[in-house]
Amino acid sequence: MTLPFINPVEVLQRRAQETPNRLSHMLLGATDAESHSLTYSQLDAEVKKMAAYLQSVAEPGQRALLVYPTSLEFVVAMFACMYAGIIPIPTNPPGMNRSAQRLEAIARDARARLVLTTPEYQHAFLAEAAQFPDFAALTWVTREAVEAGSGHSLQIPVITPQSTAFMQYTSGSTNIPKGVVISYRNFSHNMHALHETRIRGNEYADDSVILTWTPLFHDMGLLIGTFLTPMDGTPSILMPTIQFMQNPLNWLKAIQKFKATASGGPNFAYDLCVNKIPLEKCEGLDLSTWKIAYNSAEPVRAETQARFAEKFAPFGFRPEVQAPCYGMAETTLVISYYTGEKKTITQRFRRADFEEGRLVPSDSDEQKESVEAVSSGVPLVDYQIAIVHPKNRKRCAPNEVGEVWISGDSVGEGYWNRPEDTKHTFGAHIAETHEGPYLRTGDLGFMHDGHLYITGRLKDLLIVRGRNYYPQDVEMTVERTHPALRAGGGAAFSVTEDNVEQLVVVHETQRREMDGVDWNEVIKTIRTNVAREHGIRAHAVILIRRATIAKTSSGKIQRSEMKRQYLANELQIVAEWRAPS
Amino acid sequence: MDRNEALQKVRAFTLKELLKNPEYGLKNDEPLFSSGLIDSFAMAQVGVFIETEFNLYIPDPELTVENMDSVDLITDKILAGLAAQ
Repeated sequence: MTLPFINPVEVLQRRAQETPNRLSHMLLGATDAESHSLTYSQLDAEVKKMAAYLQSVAEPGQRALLVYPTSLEFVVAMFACMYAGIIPIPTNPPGMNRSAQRLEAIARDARARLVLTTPEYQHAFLAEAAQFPDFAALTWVTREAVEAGSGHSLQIPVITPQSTAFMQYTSGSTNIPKGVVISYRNFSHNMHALHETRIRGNEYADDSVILTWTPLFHDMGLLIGTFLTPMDGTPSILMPTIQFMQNPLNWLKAIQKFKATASGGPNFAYDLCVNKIPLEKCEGLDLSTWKIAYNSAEPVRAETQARFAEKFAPFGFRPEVQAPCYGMAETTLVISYYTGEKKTITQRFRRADFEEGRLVPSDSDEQKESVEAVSSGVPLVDYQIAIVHPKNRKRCAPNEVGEVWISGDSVGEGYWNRPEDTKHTFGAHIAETHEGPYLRTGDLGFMHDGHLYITGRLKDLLIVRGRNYYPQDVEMTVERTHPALRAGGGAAFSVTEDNVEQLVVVHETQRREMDGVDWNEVIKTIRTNVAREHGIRAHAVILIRRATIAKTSSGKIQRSEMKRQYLANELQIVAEWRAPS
Repeated sequence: MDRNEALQKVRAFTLKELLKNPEYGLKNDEPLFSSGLIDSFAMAQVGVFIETEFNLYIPDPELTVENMDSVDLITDKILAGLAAQ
């Protein structure tokens, strides 16, 4: 199927002409008086002014970091880069508590020329300039600079499907950020895919409203909150993430207030609504306009879906609007999506076989006997999915779990300036038949009745509250805490407790250092350092005897084996701390 | 524990470890997270600080912006937790 090419620069200009006074984006403030909005004509005018300024300070094809809180300025800056032929890179703006180290690493990796930001961030970063000399060398662009420097003319570049639309730095461990290059071809295809989700959910109509609180620098907020709106002509309500974090009821009340039809978040957000919102605070709540409640960015749990549907059914929430999805930055955003059934689709399999990658249906509801896999929906337009043995790269049999491989126009062009990583991740071919190239997702799963199920991860990635953590980063932090901890002798992994993924850290001690070391103090320091550097609390920290960490013959840490030993209480413990239950 | 003693510990920690600026004129009721002064990344640090300094474990569901948004609120949460032990 050939889908028409969607060029966002043309689309926004057309909307500004055809429906100039229609609401494009609204940013929610703490009160109505503090909310701000832009119509299509206002957005287009702001974008053109900034784009003209950008062309006066940078060349087409140069990269710009975008460092903004959730704001209309972010939306303007994204489009302004596209109008100017500059490649935007949305980033996570650190608070005062965090170093700008990751931002600097991204700036260096992307060889960025510009930083588009607010005066507050500019001030904070330049205060650290001594530490990060590369920052001072960048051209800083704030709205004030644009206003002061107005009067430039704008030459909108020719946009082809091959042109780069933006880069998403969400992959790779902290120290080696990798930027996924998203072309306009990828962007256009994913817009079609997102549009299809709306059609399938019967959500797309004249009175549709999209409401997002997930961060705009993240693929979900970026594509849905920033771009889907002008492409589909639907107003977008932007809620700062902190308003959701302060009280999840703020989200549901905003859905009611703006009669939102599409909104969602990671699984933990639905858990928070179930666990943190007292029923008596829900009086008068009306969620009946909600037609797509997407659940994505971390594993979808059937129990969460069921509890949310049950709790909010009295307030007009319909279970059939629940939409587990699957996607990633490497595929622009969305891959599969599901809607239309009365409840989340799940399949039960015999646990003993499942753990070895074989799918044998089970009738048992017992946790010990069976596992429940949740459908992540049906792949969208023009995607090909292959389930592949990660080692021999042959296609799996229909009753086997394998790595999920994907091809389609949404699959990004590769990692910026990293040909080896790009070849490995984006250029996989199936053995013997040589079909490809496919994107290796690093996730394990299977197809059943046309639905994609994600069952685990091949790559050692921890996902806690929608944030990704790389175990090697956490292990490095732990190792550096004390010389009595053996270099390369640690394993960080996650365990599921009460339906929540929790971080466990296991590390080897060195015998010759053991005399006189206060292990409890070492453990305290480990907990402090992991929290400071990674923003996560360890659920358990366990120091084990020398030479008892499991390694492969080539010396790689076997995290899954250490997890097994932890769960089976087989670790040879020197000292430990566990969160009280 | 004396409220002021706890408050001074929380304050010193916030200035040194979170704001990284002991000179900052922080008010004890000044919003920390909801104002964007510090980001939610720091919540884990607040939790571990309370564990190690006050030997009090605050479970995840209670470690929220609502409960921890100022030096005053953090102090109150600690005192309430210690009193319940």
